[in-house]
This record gives sequence, C-alpha cells and structure tokens, in this order.
Amino acid sequence: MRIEILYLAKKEFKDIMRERVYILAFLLQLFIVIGIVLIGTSYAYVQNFMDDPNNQGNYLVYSEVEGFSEYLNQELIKTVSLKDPNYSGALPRNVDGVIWAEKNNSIKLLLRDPAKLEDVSEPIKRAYLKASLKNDISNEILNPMNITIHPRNYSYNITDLFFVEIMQTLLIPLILLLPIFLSMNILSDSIVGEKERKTFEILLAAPLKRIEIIIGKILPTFAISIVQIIVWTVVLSVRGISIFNVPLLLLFLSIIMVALFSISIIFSNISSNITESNLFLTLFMMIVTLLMFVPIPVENNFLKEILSYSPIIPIIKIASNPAVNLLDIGRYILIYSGFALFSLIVALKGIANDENIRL
Amino acid sequence: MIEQMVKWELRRLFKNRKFKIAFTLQLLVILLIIPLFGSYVKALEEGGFFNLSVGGKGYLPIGVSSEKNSLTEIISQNKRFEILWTDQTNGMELLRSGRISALLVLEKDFEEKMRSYGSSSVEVYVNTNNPKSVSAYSELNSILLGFRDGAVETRIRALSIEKPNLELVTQNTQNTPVANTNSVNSPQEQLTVNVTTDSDRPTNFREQIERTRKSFEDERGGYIVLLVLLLPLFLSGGMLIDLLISEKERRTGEMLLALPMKREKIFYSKFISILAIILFQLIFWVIALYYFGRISNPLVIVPLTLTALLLLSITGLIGVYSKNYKDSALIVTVTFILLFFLLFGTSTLYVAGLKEVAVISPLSLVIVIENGTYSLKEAALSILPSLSFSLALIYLSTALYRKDEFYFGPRPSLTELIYEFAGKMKIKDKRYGPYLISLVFGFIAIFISIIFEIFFGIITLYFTESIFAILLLWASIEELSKSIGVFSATKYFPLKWHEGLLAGMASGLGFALLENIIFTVFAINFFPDYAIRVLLMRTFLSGGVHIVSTGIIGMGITNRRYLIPAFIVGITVHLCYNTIVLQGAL
Repeated sequence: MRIEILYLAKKEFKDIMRERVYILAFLLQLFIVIGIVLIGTSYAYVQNFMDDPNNQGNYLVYSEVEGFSEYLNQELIKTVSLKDPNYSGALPRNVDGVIWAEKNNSIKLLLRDPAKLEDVSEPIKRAYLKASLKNDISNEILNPMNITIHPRNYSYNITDLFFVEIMQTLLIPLILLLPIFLSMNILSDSIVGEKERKTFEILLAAPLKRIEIIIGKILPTFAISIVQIIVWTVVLSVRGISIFNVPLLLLFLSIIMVALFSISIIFSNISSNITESNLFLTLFMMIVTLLMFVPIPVENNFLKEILSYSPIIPIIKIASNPAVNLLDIGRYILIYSGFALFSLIVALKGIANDENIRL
Repeated sequence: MIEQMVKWELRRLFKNRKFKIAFTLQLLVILLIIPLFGSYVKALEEGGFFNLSVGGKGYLPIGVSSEKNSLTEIISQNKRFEILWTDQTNGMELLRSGRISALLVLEKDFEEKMRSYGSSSVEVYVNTNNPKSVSAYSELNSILLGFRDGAVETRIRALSIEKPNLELVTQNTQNTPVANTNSVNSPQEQLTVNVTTDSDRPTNFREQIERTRKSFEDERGGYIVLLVLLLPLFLSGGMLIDLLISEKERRTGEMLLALPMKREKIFYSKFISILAIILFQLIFWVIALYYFGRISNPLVIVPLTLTALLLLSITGLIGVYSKNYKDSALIVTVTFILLFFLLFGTSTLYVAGLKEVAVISPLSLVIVIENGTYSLKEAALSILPSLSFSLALIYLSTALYRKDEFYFGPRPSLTELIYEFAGKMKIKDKRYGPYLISLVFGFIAIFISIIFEIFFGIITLYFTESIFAILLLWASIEELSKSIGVFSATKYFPLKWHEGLLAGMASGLGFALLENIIFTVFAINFFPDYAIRVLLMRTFLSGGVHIVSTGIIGMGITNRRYLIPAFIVGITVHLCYNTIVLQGAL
C-alpha cells in the first residue's frame, strides 16, 4: 500500500476524532450496549414467570389412587398432599389449584385460573391412568419413552434460557452491527462533506488515484468499527456474556463492512448534500434492521430461502457456538465477499463519474 | 402574517422529497403492521418469537445418533435445529468441542418399539460449559415430551382404555365430600406451603412480577398500537428540526429575520405547521385503527397529541440550539432514546401496578383510556406535568430564537447560556444577589442530578455492582450540580470565602427543599404512614448535609487554590451521610 494512502487515512482519522459529535456517539453506544444487556436481563426475568416449561404449576392433591402424585410429578405438576378431602379454605398464594383423584375413574379439579384447564387436563388424566392401571397392563404401554439426561444432575435456571436466547439471537448481533452502522454515517459524511465544501477537487489534485482516496477514507472508519466491536465484546464479557470465535467473527464482519461501506459510498455518490445522504442511509438501515431483526411470519418459500441467506445467521452461528462448521460459514463468506466486491465496483464506478463528485 | 407563514411552511414541507419519502415509509410500515398485527400478536403470545426470528434458523446445532424415524422427522422439521447425523462416539467428541449443543441418542429399534407398544430409552447429552446447551436441551426436551405424550394418547385410543372423567369445580361447589378418606394410600404430608391468601396489594416481588406478566399479556396489543402511533410522532419531530436547521444551513434565516414580525412568530409558524401535520396523521391513524378494531376509544388522541407536543417542544429546542444537521442528528438520537425509555418506562410501570409514578407519562393515559378506567384526577396528573414541561421548553426555544447568535454565530456555549441566565437574576444588592442566584440554581440542580444519576448510575452498576461506587457517584454528581449556582454567582459578584460559604449553603438549601418535596410526595403516595417521618428526617438530616457540603465547596470556589480539596471534602461529607443512611436502612 502506498504511504500516501496512509497519510490520507491518518488525516481522516484525526478529522473524525476531532468531531465532538462522533465522540458523543461512541459514548452513546456504550449506554445503548449496557441498556441492551439490561433489557435482555429484564426480558428473561419476566419471561421466567411467563412461560416456565418445567413447571405446570403447584397443586394440592387428595388421592385415592396409589402413586398418582408421583405420576403428576413426571408430568411436571408439583404436588403437596392434602389430608382433608373436604378442604374448602382459600387457595394458598403459591398454589394453582386442588386435584381430588377418586377411585371411580373420576377426577375433580379446582383451578385458580380456569383458563389453565386446557394445559393441565391431559397431563392429569395421563397421570391418573398410569397410576390406576399400573397393575393391570404392562408398564411399557403408558411409558413409551424413558428419557435420560446426561449429566444426571443437570439442571438449569430458566432465566438463563431466555437470557441466552435473546442475547445470542437478537441483541449481540445488534451490538456488533451498531459500530458498522455508525461508521457508514461517518464515511458518508466525509465524502458528501468534501462535495459540499467543494474540497474534492483539491483531494483529486493529490498524487492519489480515486480508488486510493476512497481506501484512505474507508481505512479509518474500518479501524474504528473493528476497535469498537472488540471493545463491546470486552464490555459484554464483564457480565460473563461470551462471544466465541472472535477472529472469524471479525473476518466476516469485515466483509460485511466492505459491502455496507460501499453502499454508503453509492449513497454519497447520488446525494447532493449531507441531509440527503443521511436520509438514504436512515431508510437503508431501517430496512436492513427490519429484515435482519424483526421476526417476519413468511409463508412464501422463495422469500424464506432469501431470508435464510441473511448475514445475521452466520453472525449468530459464529458468535454463539464454541466451534463452527467452517464449510457452512465458508459458504456465507463466499457469498458476501462476492456481494462486497460487486458493491465496491459499483461504488468506484460512481466515484469515477465526475458529475457525482461535483467536478 | 403567521397564518401566511404556516401556509408557506406547509407548502414547502409537502414539496420536500425527504418529507414525501418519510411519509410514504410510515404509511407502508403502518399498513404492513395492520394486516400482520393479528398473526404477530398470536405468534408472540405462543412464544413463537424465536421461531419467526430470521436469526433463529439453525441456531441450535445438535447431534442425532439414530436411524431416521418418526421422532427424528419431527425434530428435522424444527428450523431452529441444525442436525448433524452421527454415531454416539463421534457425537460425544463434537459435544465436547462445542460443535453441537446437545446430542440425542435413540435406540436402533426405536420405531419398532413404538409400534409394538414397547418402551424405548432416549438419552440426551449436554455440555454444561456451552451456554447454548440450555436452549438446545429445553427445545429438544419439549419435543421429546410432546412425542411421548402423543404416543401415550395414541396407545390409549388404540387399546380403548377409558379415560377418567375430569370435572372442573368452582370454589363454591368444591365442598362435595370425597368418599372414603381411609383408603388414601399416598404419603400424607402436612400442608407446608404458605397459606396466606391473596390481597389486592402485592406483598412480595415475585407476585409483583406475576402481576406485571399478566398485565403485559392483557396490554400487549395496546403496546403495539402505541408503537405504531409513536412512529409518525418521532418522524415528524425530525421534520421540525429540518425546518429550523435548513434556514441556518442555506443562510435563508437572515431573510426571515428581516420580515416585519416578531422572531418568536417565525418559530411558532414552523412549530404549528408540523403540529398540524402530526395532528392530521394522528387523526388518520386513530380512525383507521379504530375502524380495524385495534383501539377501542378514539379519545387516545388526547394523550398522543400531548406526547406530540412534548416531542416537538424538545426537537424545537434542539433545532434552535444546533448549528447544523450533523450537530442536531446526535442530540436528536440521544434525546429520542432517552424519551423513548422515559415514555415507555413509565407506561411499563403503569402496567406493573405502580400507577402513582407512571401517571406522569401521557402514554400511561393512553393505556388508561383504552382500559376505560380513566378518571379526571388521573387525566389531570398525566396532562399537567408534560404540558407544563412542553410550554417551558417552547418558551426557552423562543427565548433562544430571539438571539442573533443562534443565526449569525458564534453560538454561545452551554456555560455562557447558564451565566446569562444567572445574569437575569442579578440584583444590584450584593447582600442578596449571589444567594438568590445560588438558591434558584439549587432548585434546577435536582433535575440535572436526576438525569446524570440515572445515566451514569446504569453504567456504573453494569461494571461494578458496588453500592459504594454508586453512592460515591451520586454524591459527586449532586455536589457538582449544586456548585453550578455558586460558580454562576461568582461570575457577577466577587465573593469572599464566607460569602462563598453562604452562597453554597443557599444552593444546598434550594436543592434540599425541592428534593424533600419530591420525597415527601412519593412517601404520601406509597407509605402514607411514614410521610411525616420522611419529611422531618429529610429536613433536619439530609437538608443539613446538603447545606453543609455545598457550603464547603462554595468556600473552595471563591478561592481557587482550595477548589479541589473543597470538592473532595464536600463530596466526602455527602458520601458519609449516604453510607450511614443506607446502612441504617439495611
């Protein structure tokens, strides 16, 4: 690389660092990153009480059928034995209902929330059948599968489940892409700023080719993005949130950066001022964010296939798995390298057009 | 004249390409949301968020050691799984390396056993060091349990086993005697659970969360409506900034200033034109959503208009203060994020049951109106704070708009504006002048402190979780905020050390007075029995500490040599008090 490009990159870097607005934007990102983790934590905490798959509820159980309570426990219904069949007191706070299992193939059920009937009626009936028929039919008939988990004492906190999922599939990719989105703005401001100030001509008078000028402008924003991604990774690790395969992740994000920065240059080419370029970038980022992060109930197979090539998928795969299938990731790297190269060529063609830089 | 200017602005807006694109975009988003609304809410309610999420595809790599059968077919249909067919030994190796998050091992004759009413063993292996194993196991286990239950149902039907009758009884009919209590064979235990009955007021945190959950379930639809309706508000906020800044960037502001009309009217014309557009959009969306049955009461337009006014008054101030687009873009982003958190945070508090606090947000009123439970008191409490804050900001914007520096530059810094504001309170009599300035800034310092305490408090809490660090941070922020008054007073009056002491004490008094009023109002709402105690304790202890600590700093400000030591001592006094109070409370 020619030394002149590095001089230009150094000058651009200094310009960026001098802008108070960008420095504030970096600080704002720190606040956003921390806010995102807090949102993830509170989401997991609320979900914990919302949808605990390991607990169908706590019930007081009066049973005339031997072993009924044990089979209820297998159905994830927690039980407390009831001595008094005529129990009519108010339901204790942590109890969801009362079950009376009678010998004559009948069950009575009192529910705090009658809407839960649909969820618990079948498990209760199954438990009753298993208990009442255990001496009459082969045990295997009503127990088709013996599920064993290894390690045997394995247990997990349900809050961790929701926290890990929302962080890995939604919030970590968002945090990793934030610096790239910001850098797209910085790059666009830098190019359109030259057009607005009519200083592009002076830059062209320098002993640099147009492509070298663009490289000189991309390099500092590229470096800033990479540094920020590393910083956010460290900030997340403070809270024990692991991001795996950082070198591979940086490689893939670099390819994404080349593609997005090229798109930013294309927007700069067609914009006559910063307002216009900001508008294009805002719209572009809104659409990209929508496509990457918002769950879309798509029925169309073609659209499904297109969405399965979303860059968010490899980002999640690389960042969330301790080891990855390099062949699978390589496929995405190849596709996005091609896309990045294509975007870069279009961007450079645009720069080559004198009208686009207001000469 | 102002009507004419509003017309000009509206015409200019409708011709503006940016406005057209923004308006079309929000139209598309809202039109897209309305048909998707039902399926989207349903998907969320069924916990389908991660299944719909684009990033969820292949999120869980699992190994399966089995022949293909009906169970593995069901597992393969789950798009969240990326399945690696492997043998057990290789699978264990992949699990250890982290390549897969869970390993499922089925017997070779699994399918045969299922068909012949036999029982088959299913082994699930997880690597506890892999954070994703939790998700993989949970997802896999729910499929396995579903398959098992399905198999049981099929066998019950096939063998014509009679299912028990299940009768749902209510609290009143449950007393039906259950026969033959002596034949109970299951282990008899005493009732060990807490038998406290429900009360209206939540008494523990878990129950509070449970209530929040239920409220979210009920209000989720309303929340999405709010999000939809906030979209035009936030987009239009940017339009006002655009109108204000473009005059500066294109240098056309000078021509406007030359018009024979008061400057504030120029500001009002821009403000009114954007407000008219927002109102038009709100009316349009409220009617549309009402027609589609997404909202039940069109009156929600009242609090939404108030939110619009609040948003416009903030963006108006940013537009007046900013030099250029670049300048305004970041301030707008910061403000919108904070405002979004504030508006939604308070309305979240509303559904969480903390209505007394949440009521200050106009968005809480949207929820109240949708629920049909609004009262005049609630409406007044929601409307007044945001309306008065908006009017204060509009006044501030017009005051700044009158100043030439915001057009011709150089733009005054925040410090200069603060000193200028202090100068307006300057009275000639030195006996009272500095103390009046300090006292007024003491009042203002409480609002500055709250904003910074929340912002930096969250960051500090993230990194340290140390309560001592938070207390130190808060003491420093409060002392720095209170000192602004003394610094401003010294700008206009040369103060001796004892006058600095008194100015500091005046600032501390102003801060303590307003802080006590806020604390007492909260206490009256939440712990009415303790309100008097809170008032007295805070007046004599907290009030005293604020006065003393800022008094010490005031002395340091008058003699710059002692500025840093004075700050250290003042903050230390404040910190010691905070620590003692916290230990007492714990």
